[in-house]
Amino acid sequence: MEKINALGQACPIPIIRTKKALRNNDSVQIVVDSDISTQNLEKMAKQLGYSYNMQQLSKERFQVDIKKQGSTGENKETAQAAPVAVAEDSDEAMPHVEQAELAQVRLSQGYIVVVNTDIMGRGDDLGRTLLKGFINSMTEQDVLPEYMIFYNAGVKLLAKDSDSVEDLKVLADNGVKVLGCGACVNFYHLEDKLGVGDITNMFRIVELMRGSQRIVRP
Amino acid sequence: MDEKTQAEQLIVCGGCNAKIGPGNLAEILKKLPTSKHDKNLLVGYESTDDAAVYQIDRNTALIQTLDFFPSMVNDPYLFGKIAAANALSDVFAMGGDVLTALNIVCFPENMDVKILERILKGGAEKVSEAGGILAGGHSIHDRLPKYGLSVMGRVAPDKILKNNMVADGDVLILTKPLGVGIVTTSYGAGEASEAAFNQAVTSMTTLNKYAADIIRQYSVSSCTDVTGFGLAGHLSEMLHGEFKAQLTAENIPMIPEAYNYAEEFLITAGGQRNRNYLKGKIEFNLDDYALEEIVFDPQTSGGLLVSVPASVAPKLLQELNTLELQSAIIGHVTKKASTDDVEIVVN
Repeated sequence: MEKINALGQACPIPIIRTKKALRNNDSVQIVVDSDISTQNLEKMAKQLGYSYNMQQLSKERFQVDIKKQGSTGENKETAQAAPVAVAEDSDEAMPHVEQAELAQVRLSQGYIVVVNTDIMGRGDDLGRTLLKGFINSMTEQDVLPEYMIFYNAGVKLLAKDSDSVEDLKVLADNGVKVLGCGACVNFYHLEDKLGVGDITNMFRIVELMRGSQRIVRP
Repeated sequence: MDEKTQAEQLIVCGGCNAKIGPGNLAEILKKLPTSKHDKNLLVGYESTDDAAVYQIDRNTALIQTLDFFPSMVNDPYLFGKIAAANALSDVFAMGGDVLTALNIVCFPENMDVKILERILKGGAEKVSEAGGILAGGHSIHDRLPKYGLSVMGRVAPDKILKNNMVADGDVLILTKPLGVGIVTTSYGAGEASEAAFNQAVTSMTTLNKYAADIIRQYSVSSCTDVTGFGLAGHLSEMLHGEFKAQLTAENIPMIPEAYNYAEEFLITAGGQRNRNYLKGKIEFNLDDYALEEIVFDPQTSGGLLVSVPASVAPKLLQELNTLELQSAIIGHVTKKASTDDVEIVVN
């Protein structure tokens, strides 16, 4: 069971912390300082189909227990102790996510997408069409990547007139951080033509790639 | 401490989310000794309206209102604009013109005064855009920065737009999208997109003056601005126990991401307080939890909620939609049986 001390924290912080903890735990105990926070936690538990139990410890101290149904709250304990537990938000956690939550788009810190070309596979025409389809299908995924990194000819996809700019905007609007390599943008003279994404550098690209659980490439 | 880190301390789940819940407030107000009766006080606080209105001669009534709160954004200049737009709004909701405004300032002793300068700049710009004069103010030291305005406006006594004159068959129009409370709070927690945040800021910094200028040309029954009590709370005040509103969920304008964030439980204490207050008075005929959160979401500098005869509504809506922010017909009003507790039905 995960324990969270959210005293002094206003909504939605206690809710966010609880929700994140529930990805890897079947049961979470939260202490909050306001009755209103307990009511918000209760709403979340109800929506996700989890059990909710509240105990007022003192005037400004409330303990809330949220458990996934049919769980003893103990079965994940061992997995937590294992070093692989750092895969906090990766797909490994997905089997433990309830149906209600599966229906929602979620960001995963567990994977990033790297696009280093403007064609997918070999052959220019087919390759461009496939890459457009790849980016479009990205928007349909239940779990979105945290970052999408574009370098080499991949940065062409970020241009205003690219076939994928609208899809990438949708992804960005849903919280995916879209990054383009600055040197590559300069090389293709796209400085004034970018329609989506922020500029980054090789240091940051290396940092993100080495820190990621998984890298997806078209 | 440099200016940036100081500015980041500006934010504390603020805006109208910081408002004291309507339930608590009503209890306290009931216990206050009543002031002397004065027939020139056309609108006072027994009517839950947006501002006080006092008639000074046959053709003129003065509107008096104030509003201030802690910030819900990191940028002091934006905070100034939002807080001022929000305070000025009450005058427009009463159908009036802004005459003068006074700054209300709470600011920490050890914080960089440049931040205060930015706040006041944003506020002064909005007062001037509203057609008013910034005529002074009062500042005190406080642990957290807070800003707002005390505003005086003018209205002809027979042109006052009260918030409780709805009529059977009226149509309800809302002039700004809902969800700014959820979006700004989510953004503060690092969970909202720039695009959604910018949309919320545009909405909050837009003066209700432009919508009010149009609305005043029509014979509308009632008008209020949607702020801390959310759409449901302010609508309930408008219906004042005698009328019932039927809302159409799909027509309620909102920032689209706000709905997604509500689904992700990025929800506020203010929204829950509003939900508690309206318990038993509102009925949702659809199973849409996120929509419920939107309807209860406390708005900062929210839009005008207007109740108009159905015959007038299409033309008014058409004209309102020449403005940048899109308005929508969200439902209609019927008479309510006194035995019926439900005031708002969302279909």
